Amino acid sequence: MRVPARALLLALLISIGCRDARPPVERPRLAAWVVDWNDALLRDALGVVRDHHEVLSQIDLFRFRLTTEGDAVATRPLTALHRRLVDTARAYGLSVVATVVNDTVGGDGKIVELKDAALVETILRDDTRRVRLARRLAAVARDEGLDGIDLDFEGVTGSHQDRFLDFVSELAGALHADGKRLIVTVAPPPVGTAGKPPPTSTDALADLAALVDEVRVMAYHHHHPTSAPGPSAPVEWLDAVVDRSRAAMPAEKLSIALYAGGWEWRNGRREQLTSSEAVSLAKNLEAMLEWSENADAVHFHVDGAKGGIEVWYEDACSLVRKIERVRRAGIRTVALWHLGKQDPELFSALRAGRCERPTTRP
Amino acid sequence: MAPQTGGRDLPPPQPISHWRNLYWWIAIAGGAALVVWGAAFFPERRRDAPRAAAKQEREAFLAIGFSRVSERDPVAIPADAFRREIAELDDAGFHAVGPADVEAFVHDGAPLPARPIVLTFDEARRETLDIADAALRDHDFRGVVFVQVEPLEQGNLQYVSWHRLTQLVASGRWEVGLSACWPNGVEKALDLITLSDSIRHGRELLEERSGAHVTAVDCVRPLDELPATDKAWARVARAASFTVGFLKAPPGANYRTDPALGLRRVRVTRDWLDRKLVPVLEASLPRREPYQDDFSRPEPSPAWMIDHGKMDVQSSSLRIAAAPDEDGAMVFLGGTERWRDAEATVEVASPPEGQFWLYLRRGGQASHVRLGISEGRVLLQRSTAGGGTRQFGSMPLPDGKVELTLRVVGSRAIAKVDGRILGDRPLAVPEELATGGVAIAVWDEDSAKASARVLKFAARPMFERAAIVPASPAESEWRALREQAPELTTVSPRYFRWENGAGSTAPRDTSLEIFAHYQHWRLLPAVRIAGALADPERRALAAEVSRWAADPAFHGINLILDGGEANEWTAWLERVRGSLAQDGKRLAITWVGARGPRNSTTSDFFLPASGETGLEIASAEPEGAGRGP
Repeated sequence: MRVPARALLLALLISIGCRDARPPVERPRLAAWVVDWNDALLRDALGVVRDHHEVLSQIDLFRFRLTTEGDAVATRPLTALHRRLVDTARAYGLSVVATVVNDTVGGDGKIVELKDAALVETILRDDTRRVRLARRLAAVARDEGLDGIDLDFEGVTGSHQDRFLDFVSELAGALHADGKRLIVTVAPPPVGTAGKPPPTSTDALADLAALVDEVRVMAYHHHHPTSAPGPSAPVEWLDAVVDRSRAAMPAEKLSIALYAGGWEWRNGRREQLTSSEAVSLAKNLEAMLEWSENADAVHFHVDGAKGGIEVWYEDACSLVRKIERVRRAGIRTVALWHLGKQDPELFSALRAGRCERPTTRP
Repeated sequence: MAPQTGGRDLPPPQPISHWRNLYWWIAIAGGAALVVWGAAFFPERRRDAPRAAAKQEREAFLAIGFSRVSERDPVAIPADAFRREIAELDDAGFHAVGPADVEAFVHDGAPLPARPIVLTFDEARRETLDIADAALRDHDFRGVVFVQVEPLEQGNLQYVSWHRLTQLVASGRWEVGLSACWPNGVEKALDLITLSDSIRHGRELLEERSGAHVTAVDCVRPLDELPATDKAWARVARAASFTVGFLKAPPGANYRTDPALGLRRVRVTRDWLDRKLVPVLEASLPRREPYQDDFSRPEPSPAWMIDHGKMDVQSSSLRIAAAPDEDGAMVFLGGTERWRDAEATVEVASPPEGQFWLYLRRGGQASHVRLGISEGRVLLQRSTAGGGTRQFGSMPLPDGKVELTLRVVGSRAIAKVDGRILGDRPLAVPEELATGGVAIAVWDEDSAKASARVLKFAARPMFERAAIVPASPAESEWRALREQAPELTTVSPRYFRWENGAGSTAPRDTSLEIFAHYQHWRLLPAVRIAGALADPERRALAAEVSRWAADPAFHGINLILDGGEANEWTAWLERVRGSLAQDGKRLAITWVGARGPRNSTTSDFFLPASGETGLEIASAEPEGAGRGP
């Protein structure tokens, strides 16, 4: 009896050893920005985290802006709803990071300028202010118990890239000393016509990747407010953005951000829409929805004065397919801009791993 | 005769307590033993008192690195020699500091003890650290060991164990840093990313294993390889949370303004010890006193450091010459790398073989002011990285030995040949040549022929001097100004005044401005502030100062302030200084009556008292300030 017992024990140990030797299977990561511009958006985000936490890995609270003096300031005071969202995310094992964006607010708390590249460049030129901002953001991450910071400074010109890298290295050093992560969100590398904001060179992507934990490339707004109507991320363009970004850094450093909503071009005006708003608009206009294979996006057009109305947006199916496309390229992390924009069916479709093609009429 | 006892004059006999005496003797002996042996039991406590009283150093520190120290290994530094050198460092008044001190010094300006030195050790070899730890303990020194984590992870017996490293850290004598470097051929992208990840993980592992907070990284590559990789290396090291970084370098000090992640660590090797460590290190410390040399000793002074070529003493003269296969030679006066204002005089046996040059503010190959001899003439030249070399004066070389004097103070240089000024006006020295070392050199296009004999040499640091004059000087003040001209760097006409919350302006004297331009003086009009200044008023004053300084004729502004209130002004001044600097203007402060803050010496003048009239001379040297004629 003793020999079989030993054999069983040995077999058990070997099986445990073999199991441990296998590389752990890492789940794909899906991050989503959460904007706190009103409580409805926060409540919507809370619902997504509660109901679909299995497909999410991180929320990025779009939480800090810059004062005209170059200091970081919260978009609004921390509310019970913020805390509930953060606690719920943590309870489900999601990471929580805060995004700091270069939107400038004045002394009265009102936004002075969106994507204020000039202010960032002024801060970067001033060693004292630059170091102070890095220390302040590291302190914010420490004090609010965040897992890291997402730095979203857009529009910084190439001539300031050197100082921007200095700032990123200072912030990264301060965060890493506390075991926190740094994500830098950037415009995509140049592919075809320049988008908005100006593209990030592949050299700059590589330089950033050497300093931070994640370089997040905004693969959207290829067609943007000042361009002709079109899809936010046509697949050919998306593939090129992924390939060029991928060539600049290892896949584990790279994440691709996708836009979850849509754009409406109407009578010379352009507006952002949520996916639901796009569907409602199509219903109201009795428009025929069309599925673009090239764009992997939904669109409709209604004739009228000054070019009529044209809408391009992402629905659950288009985003599931794009996320899958990015992951097939070896990119583990995808981010969505932002919760509240998405098709309500998106997370169910992601969980199911499939989607239904849209009908031609909503 | 029987002893007289119990008489009226004597006390009655007392019984002798032998046991009590014995107890006393034991107590005394015990106390003495404690005194004698106590020092051996508690060596760390011996030197606390004198070290606490040490002077402070605000400008520079040294860092040296030992590779292997051994009792037996023939290629390592012998243990006895190491102990001797550590003892001599102690005797010479050096104070060992660690990365945490350096970090506070470099980043926050915290002062270091006098003669600060970082004693570092490569790798973490067991024998080296055992010998070093004992020596450091004996002299109350501290050390830094730069650890390669792999051998310790592998349990290599040549290295200390993680447990032993933890013990060393716990002793308080040791700090740990990471030994890491960029690989050969690192250019961009993936190499840098790999490097960045590896040093970050190395730091995290080292912190986890040693329990120490790790902020220093060391790379054994030479400092001169850094320029190609400097920014990338500094950034990846910073992003991995390192705040100080060392690189291998020739002897020299680390100055506070040096890049914190590109600090020089002078590696001490076996052959170094024959030359004696302490004199070489002393020669590397910032030189603050005048230096004179008549080369009467058989060997060159350790103060002279060879950049390239060779030097020796022959017949009471210093001979510098090109080495075989080289076309020149250059030697530096150690500790002068950051000299700003200085005068140097050299007596040369004429004529030299090839060209001979005396350099001031030498910051690199193409960055200097120099006075020298070439093809029978004495030449004064200036060279900047962007502007090439320009010549500003020349004269025939006198026969026989010749004395060359070069003075560079502020934005002007004056040259003398055998006491006679070369040229008809001072040479303008641009801002980019702000600091640099004192050097002498020879050069000849025929390799190995260049040589010169220097008979005497003297160099001294100098201080800027500003003349504060009335807005429209009277004849006597003009006369005094002309007399003082060779000694001045700045002129500050009293154009502006701030009183009762408002500024006022005096009429300007164009002839004074023309004269200042001709003399290459900085024109920094004086702003006199009358009375106390409330906070809201300072904002208005800052705006007014910016407006005044904006005049294209001015290089900036000279604020005349009461030195007794220096601390109240510091933060405001830094803001104004930063604001003016963005417009390319300079803010000088003249502290009246007492010393102001000494952390910003480049733009500060001192004036013992001000009558606000006539010509007053303010000096950057506090003791040298005085009222003018």
